[in-house]
Amino acid sequence: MDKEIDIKQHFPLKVWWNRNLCVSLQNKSKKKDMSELIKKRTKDEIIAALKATLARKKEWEKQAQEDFKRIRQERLNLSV
Amino acid sequence: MNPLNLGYVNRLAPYKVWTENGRDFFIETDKGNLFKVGFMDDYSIWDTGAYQFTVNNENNQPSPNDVKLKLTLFRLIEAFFEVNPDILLYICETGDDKQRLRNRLFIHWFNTYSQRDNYILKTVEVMDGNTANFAAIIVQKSNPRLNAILSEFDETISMLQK
Repeated sequence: MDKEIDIKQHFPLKVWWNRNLCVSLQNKSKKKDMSELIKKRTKDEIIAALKATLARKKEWEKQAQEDFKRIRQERLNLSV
Repeated sequence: MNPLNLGYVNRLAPYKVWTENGRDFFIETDKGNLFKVGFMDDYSIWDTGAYQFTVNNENNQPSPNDVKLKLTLFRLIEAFFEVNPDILLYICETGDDKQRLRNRLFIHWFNTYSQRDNYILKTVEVMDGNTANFAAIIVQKSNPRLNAILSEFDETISMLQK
């Protein structure tokens, strides 16, 4: 609910506190930050980030193959 | 990443899914093949809120006609979006030069997925020298930043294609 704060004592104008407006302004600010973030990245930076992701993916895939071997071994041990 | 509701996945998925760390998931098919599915943090385009969907199988053999596998993978994606209303990225593995086939299969599976209308799937091809790389983005249509996310994705891809 909107809440009116009368701060006439301190300022000549009334100030309205609108929660929705505040959230909306916060979101706009966040959105601006995100788009600024995109613009800030150069092609080289994106390629570097992409290469880092692909390298982590390769590691993850290697780990997956290790996991498959371990699961097979565990099952073999259980069946013996 | 918020933890997925594995109970939900296992109630609806044709194959049993289990996890050891809450972040990577294992599936065993009727033929006894093991699959590992992961949701890795992805910082390629966004600093937060984007994850890389990764799938790896034991013998690297494709299973294009395994409908149960398709349904199980999509149940995991649904469970992901249920608690992570974010961005899912998918880059086809290029190690064996089968990335074009993987991309086609993923699109085919998505197009035959019953809940596809809840999501936007966009796929792109980016050349790196002589190698074609295929990437995809999946976002819920209900995402309040849908248009911004897609335009940020497009901007990045067009920058990479120049």
